[in-house]
Amino acid sequence: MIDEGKITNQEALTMAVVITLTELFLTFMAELVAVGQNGAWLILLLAAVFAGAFYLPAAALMERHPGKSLIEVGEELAGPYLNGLFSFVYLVFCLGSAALVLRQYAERVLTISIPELPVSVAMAGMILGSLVGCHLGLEAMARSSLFIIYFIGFTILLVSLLTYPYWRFDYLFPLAGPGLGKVVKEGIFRSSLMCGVPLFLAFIFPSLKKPTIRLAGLGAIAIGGLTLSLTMLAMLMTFGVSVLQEMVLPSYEMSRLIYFGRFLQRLESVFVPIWALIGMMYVALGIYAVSLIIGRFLRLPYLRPFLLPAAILIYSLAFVPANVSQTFWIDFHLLRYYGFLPAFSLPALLFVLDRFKKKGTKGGGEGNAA
Amino acid sequence: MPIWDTLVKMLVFQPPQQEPFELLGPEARGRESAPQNQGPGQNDGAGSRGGQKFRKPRRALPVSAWYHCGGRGGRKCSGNGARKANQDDQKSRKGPGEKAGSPDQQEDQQAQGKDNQDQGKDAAQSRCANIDTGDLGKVSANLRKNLKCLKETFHVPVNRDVIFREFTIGTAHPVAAAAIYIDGMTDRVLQNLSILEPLMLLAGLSPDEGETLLDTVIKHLLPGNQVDATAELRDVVDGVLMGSTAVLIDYCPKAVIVETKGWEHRQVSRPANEMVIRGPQEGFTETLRVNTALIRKSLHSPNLITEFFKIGRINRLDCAVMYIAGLTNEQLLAEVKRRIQSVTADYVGESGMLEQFIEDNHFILVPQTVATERPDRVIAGLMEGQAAVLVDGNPYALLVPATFFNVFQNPEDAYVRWPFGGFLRYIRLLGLFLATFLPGLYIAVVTHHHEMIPTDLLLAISANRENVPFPSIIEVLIMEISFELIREAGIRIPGPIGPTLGIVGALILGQAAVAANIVSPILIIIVAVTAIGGFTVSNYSLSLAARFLRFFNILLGAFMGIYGLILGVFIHLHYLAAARSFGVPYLAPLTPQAKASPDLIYRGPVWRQQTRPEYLQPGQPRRQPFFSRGWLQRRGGKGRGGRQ
Repeated sequence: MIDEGKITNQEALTMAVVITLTELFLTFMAELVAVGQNGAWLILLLAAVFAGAFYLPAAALMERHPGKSLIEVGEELAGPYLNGLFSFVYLVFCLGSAALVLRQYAERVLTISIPELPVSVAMAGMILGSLVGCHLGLEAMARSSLFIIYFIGFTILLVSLLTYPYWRFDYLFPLAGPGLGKVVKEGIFRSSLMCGVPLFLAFIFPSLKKPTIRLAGLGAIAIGGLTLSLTMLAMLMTFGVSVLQEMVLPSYEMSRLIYFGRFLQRLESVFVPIWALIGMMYVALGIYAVSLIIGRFLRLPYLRPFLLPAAILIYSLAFVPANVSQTFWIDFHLLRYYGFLPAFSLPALLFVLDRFKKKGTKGGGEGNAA
Repeated sequence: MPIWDTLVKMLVFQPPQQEPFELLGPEARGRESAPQNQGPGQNDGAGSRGGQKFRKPRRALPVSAWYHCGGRGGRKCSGNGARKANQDDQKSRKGPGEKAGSPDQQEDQQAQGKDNQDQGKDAAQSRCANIDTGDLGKVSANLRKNLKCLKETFHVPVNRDVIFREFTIGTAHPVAAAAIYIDGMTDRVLQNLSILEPLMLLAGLSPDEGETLLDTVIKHLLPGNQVDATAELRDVVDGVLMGSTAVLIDYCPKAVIVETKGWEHRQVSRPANEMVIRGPQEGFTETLRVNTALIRKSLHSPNLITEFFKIGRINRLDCAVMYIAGLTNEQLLAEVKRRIQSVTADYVGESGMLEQFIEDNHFILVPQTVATERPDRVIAGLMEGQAAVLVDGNPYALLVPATFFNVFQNPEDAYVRWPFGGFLRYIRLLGLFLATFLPGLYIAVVTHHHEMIPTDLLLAISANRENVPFPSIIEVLIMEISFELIREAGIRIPGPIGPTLGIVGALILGQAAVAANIVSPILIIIVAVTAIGGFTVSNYSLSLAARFLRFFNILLGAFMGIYGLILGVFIHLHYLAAARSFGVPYLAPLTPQAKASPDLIYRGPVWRQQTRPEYLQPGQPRRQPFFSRGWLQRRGGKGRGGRQ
């Protein structure tokens, strides 16, 4: 049995928040405006609501099987072959999402901060940092996440509020943008923004001190959704739809607007690398999840031997897209659109199987109390 | 032969016979008469002990039956027990096939010094020089054997500063004895007044009924303030090495360790490296007992416990673990003691060395114990629920477990009013940040992020750097390495020429380097601010960590700009988050979050610091009640303050 130490539910929530906030600093926000126009902030809010609703079966499933991860629960309920297929889907999802985030963040950092650095070096630096984090274990990553979240939250707040002089409330109207129907539909599909939450929490479930993930997951989805939605509101009020949808990195453009006289300006070079911390953390969690899936599927008592291969695999996959535009297209139109299907539906399917077979403990949550 | 000579010889060799104590009853008196029937050769009583001739009174042989000072294992020293101890001792000398004689005969053999055959067996047993295992065996009832063993252990006579002073205790029945000590480590006046004079001149006492010679010596003849009896030769050796005087008495299978420490040592003075404006102005010294006393004199609690351990296999230094019983977590204490006792190195001569032996993580740069030379800081830690480890011979105590916030804090933060305490910490935090990141940030901005610099400043920097032939990183490295050289030389340089170094350093760094166009003037400012930031960090180990990390940050900043610095922060943050100090996460109570009083970076008022840190799991979680300012309560009421 893999023993990676114990983390508190608050730390699990923090890691889940990191997962939800990754897209905030990338092109996703601008592209979503192109789809949802003035209603983009509503789409993000609805995405959080739907993600929370979709998450409940996964949380219920895990809490009925204390001490087991999604892999073991899947094997118990669906058998080794079907669970093998499920595990492969999880593996592909984690590898793909980590690789896409790695490539996008490295490209963005180069574009904004240090253009003369080769992208391979930037990615190597990120993957090295993530690998060190994974190697030091889940506890180290959880505690670092908590620390990083303070910085990220502070910078988001700072950038959003310091652009107050540019806000125009009339940019928000019409509130529903292209129409409520499209907003709701996009809200359902864009719940994929939070699709990493149920999977990651289900994978690390045995490492939680309290065997309950309902509050941690819902809290992370709520915090992430609100942050995304409010930041989108600030962006919309600052730039308006027509300008915003043409941008590559709206959060970067917002930080460029900060101007406190001649001696406090152009702070984007500081903000963007700080935001890269969240990308590195996401990649670290991706490497960890990949290793965890392999280790648990093969019933091995360790996962560290898989860290380096997983890191190399993610690093290699990140080079598959020809350029950053292609990377973003895959991310926006595939991962963050259909990602909710494997992430939410497979645990939901297992939950149905569980209720049908009546294998889980009704109360749950007691056997794994630390 | 003249009759006078005969009379003198009789006086000298035959002391007046006295009646023995009624300690053992008629049986003992019956045995007492037995030796008188033995042959003259066995009754001689003269021998050579440690190269010094002395005479044992003839009547001393049977007297051993009631002067014998107890068996092994700390038994009461009289009667059958004493006899059995001698029998055991005798058996150990005889071969297995050799028939043991009567108890009195055995004692006679022991007293008469028939040890020709014993020497071979003693050598074969060789209990004396097994210092590597720490086992030297038990103290024998045979003084000569003990002395031989100890001389072997101390390499006497090659070793000239270990003194074996042999003498006769002037009790009613004089008994041979010896005092062993190391010259220069003991107080001579104390030795003369409290050991030799009472035993040799004032010992004309008769033991009370039921009392042995050892009891008499300890209770009536040795006025020293610390006198211990031990049956272990290891304790004798340790005591002598620590400046005590060991008194070995013939027929006694125990030694007496008398506290006579008297070596030269530094007086209590102001702490050299942890200065405060407000607060106590005394620091630890190199003497362990002085250090423990400094703590105890300010922490008046019977629950303050001091446990001693020996560390080091060859150099066995005293190590003290101090804690407050009922407050410090039991598991923590057990772990601290377990780690200290498990250290098996030949030499652990400094708390810094012990720190490296007992710390959890060896690959993180920051210290995992709080090393302090201030007793008040140790007391504050003890009151929090930490344990203090002190090693003899150095003026630093270790507080464990330590978190980043423990290491970062300074005692003065608590001594000034709360707004200033917090302010000082923020200043120091800024200093730590500058000491770690400023040169790296400078080089990152100058090399990769020009847009961050205001245009006027950028033009000024560029103009200054125009004549400098080196790239920025070389420039920074030259200055930083030069500064480190000067700092290191400043510590090692002899006192009288110390000021010269300042002049040389200032001239080279400040004036000549700029005039020679080796570095730009702004870099001088950067290096100076960095150095000043480093000096604000009161913990030397943390300051060293910042200095070390600075060079990594310079390289990361030069090659990857701020992105590189962030990478470094990410990796180092994970190392800090993974680190533990005696099981306590290093970043607690920030992450993982734990309950603690407002005393991390921000320092709240002392009356709001009601609880001890939860991560220490102290025996008493509350430091003070919620209403700690009783004068604010209404008369007879339970309000929080007077206005309620």
